[in-house]
Amino acid sequence: MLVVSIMNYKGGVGKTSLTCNLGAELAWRGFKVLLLDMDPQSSLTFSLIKPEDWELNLEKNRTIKDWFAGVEKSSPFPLNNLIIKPETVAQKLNGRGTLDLIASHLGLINVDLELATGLGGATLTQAKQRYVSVHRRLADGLAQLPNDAYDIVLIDCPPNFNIVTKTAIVASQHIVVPAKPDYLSTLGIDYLRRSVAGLIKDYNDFTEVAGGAVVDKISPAIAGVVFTMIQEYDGRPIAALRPFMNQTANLGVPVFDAYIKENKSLFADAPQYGIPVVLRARTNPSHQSVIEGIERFVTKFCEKLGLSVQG
Amino acid sequence: MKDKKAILLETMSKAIDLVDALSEEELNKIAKGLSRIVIRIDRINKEDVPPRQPKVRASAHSTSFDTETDAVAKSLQILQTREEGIKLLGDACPTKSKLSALARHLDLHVLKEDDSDVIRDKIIEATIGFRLRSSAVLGTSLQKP
Repeated sequence: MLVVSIMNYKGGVGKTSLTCNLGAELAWRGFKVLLLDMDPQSSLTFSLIKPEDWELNLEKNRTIKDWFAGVEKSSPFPLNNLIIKPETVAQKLNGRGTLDLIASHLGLINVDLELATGLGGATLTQAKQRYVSVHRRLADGLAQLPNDAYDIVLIDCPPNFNIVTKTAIVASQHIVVPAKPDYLSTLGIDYLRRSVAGLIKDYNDFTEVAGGAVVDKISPAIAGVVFTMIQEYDGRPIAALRPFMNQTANLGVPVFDAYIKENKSLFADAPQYGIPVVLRARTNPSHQSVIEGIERFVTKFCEKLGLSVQG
Repeated sequence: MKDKKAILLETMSKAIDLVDALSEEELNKIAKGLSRIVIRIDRINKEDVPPRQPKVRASAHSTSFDTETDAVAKSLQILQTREEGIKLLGDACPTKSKLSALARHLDLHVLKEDDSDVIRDKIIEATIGFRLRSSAVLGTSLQKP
């Protein structure tokens, strides 16, 4: 089971849309996909289920916030208990693949504080043990899922590098970085690279000296930057965007050839109906072009991660 | 039928090519006020128009110009400071047309209203500035000892 985090420090770059559409297209191709919404804004959650259903069925005790809180209070329960199957998408997929979801909660923002209290210790060794233990909580939780339950888990991360986000990175083998080709978004890529490198170093150093049970080292790698919200002219990104795309590649950061095109009308109302853009009808050439762009990205993503389409 | 804008752009492009082809001696004369450049509009008869020739994309002149532009672009991409880049551009691309050509070569977006300083800054940012920004954010500043 592959675990992939979708993240960028910069907000508003299309993380949730990318996660949702990547997951939906993979499911359409026959994969078993679990989406994990780790952003307290819960945008991914509300892209797939109605807020009123969330309030009725999930808010009280069936979100990722409750799982973290349960572990913290020594009353853990398996992640399995939180998994839901968004109905509208399931109908659209019609048995082709699986697209399940673990929902988020605005209160997830407070979990960071609770996790932070678990850090520290009377001795350096104890502090390092706790650091490793806190940061690998999600990895441990995902490891308890049945081995063949999912082919891939996609984690929609918040635009920060707090402890909850770090648990996602520690649990992941790959990171996909959505970015708008503009000045601030591309700076966000560098912030992320620095933070990820720092986390990997600290975590791996601490596993060496933490003592106790043997803990695997981590090596989450940036699978690639995928540029989003691209305006095209004459079949390619407009001239104002291309320099930022070229500069990112020139810095040695892996960049997906395929990109996600801008289309305000298509992306604006898709979540309202619980159907990701990539699964919607291609009602005109403009929509078709956007959807084909997403499909091209998913193909590149599968190639990069060695995911083979199920028979 | 070409629109007016396209005709005007083509004319300006030809004018830039002509200026670019002027010799050092001619340029000196213009600079000293001994000569001047005049744009004249002459009426021509249809029968005077020579038959259309296929476009030759790269003349000997444009090839050497492209090579120069490419060399400047490559030099910029290994410089470590913006100041070095500004100096190089001052020497190698002293005119707006040369800066514009370099910007095009680098696939940069240049607006009609951009003056030489703005084009120069865009070139510097696209060749040197982005590396400095990235290094600063990554904490691996190029200028660190």
